[in-house]
Amino acid sequence: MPGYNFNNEEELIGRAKNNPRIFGELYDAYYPRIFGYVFRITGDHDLASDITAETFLKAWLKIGSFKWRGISISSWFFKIATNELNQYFRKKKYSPEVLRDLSGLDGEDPRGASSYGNEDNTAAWKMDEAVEFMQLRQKLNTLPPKYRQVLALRYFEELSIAQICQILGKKENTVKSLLSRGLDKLRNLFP
Amino acid sequence: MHYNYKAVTMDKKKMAEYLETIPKPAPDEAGGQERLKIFLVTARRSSRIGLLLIGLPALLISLFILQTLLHIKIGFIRWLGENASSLPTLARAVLIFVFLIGFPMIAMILNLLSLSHFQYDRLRREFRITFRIRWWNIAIALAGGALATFYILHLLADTLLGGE
Repeated sequence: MPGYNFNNEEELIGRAKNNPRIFGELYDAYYPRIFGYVFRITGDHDLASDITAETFLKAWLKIGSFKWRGISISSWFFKIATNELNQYFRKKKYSPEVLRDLSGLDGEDPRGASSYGNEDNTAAWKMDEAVEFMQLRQKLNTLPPKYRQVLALRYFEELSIAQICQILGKKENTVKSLLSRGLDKLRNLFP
Repeated sequence: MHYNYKAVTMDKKKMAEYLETIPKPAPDEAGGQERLKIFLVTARRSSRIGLLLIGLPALLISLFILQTLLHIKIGFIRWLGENASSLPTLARAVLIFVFLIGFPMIAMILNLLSLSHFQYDRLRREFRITFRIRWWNIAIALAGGALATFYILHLLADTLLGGE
């Protein structure tokens, strides 16, 4: 975000605790990243809007208790968003999509991917790429949450192992192990 | 360059490379970002605010019904009547309009907005309006509309029949 000084984040967070307008600067800086993260997992623009909104609302309510530990507040936002996603998948009575539904996607009408193409999206997202990503996302979402989370954070959001550890509250070896097992499980879903 | 997963036998390393290189969507979120910044509510929050906005008028009408139909004397209603009559007519009218019609209508609008989404799909040249089914929001919106309608009809009846 233009004008946002990531080096000054500690001071900004301190001021944001007492000033909602200052919190707005954090919000503007990180909303696109969190929205993109949620959208890439859910594939639903409206749902992503709601979950992202819930994420920032909870952050706004709890900013007073946030303690600066030399880690960007983005990890905290990702953590809240991840918890919201888990809640969403649980409330949906989350159950993995059966493989026969996934195998039918090879000939699927790509119009289902149109939510990835927005008239304002200057990234010029191509329809065939949207279909491929959607198929990958659906396979990823059949995995248990612990694998889905680490894979999405590592490969969709391109976060480091250290950042993932902060977000999920897990040790480095645990995250590496989850990534390795997650890749195995995901690989097995491909023909 | 990214791998076509159908053409390449995946080992774990290639799976990782595939995930790293597959093009990922970068959705446009500007509209949602601004809306949230203005309202800072989600659909669930708007339903809670809506509940408050219709709860108070609904409570008032319930108390009036108890007093009028069941002849149960309620001190709060008597107090309200005594204090309201001491206000200037215009002030009383504005208060009644805001509290008994404005609040329920705001509740109805907030919840209807939270349920609806408007989107133009340029690729398919379609304008889509979608409504999410969230029963709690729908209930609040209907209750707000019903309350506002009730009071508007009540005011019309009073006016036409020359009531107080």
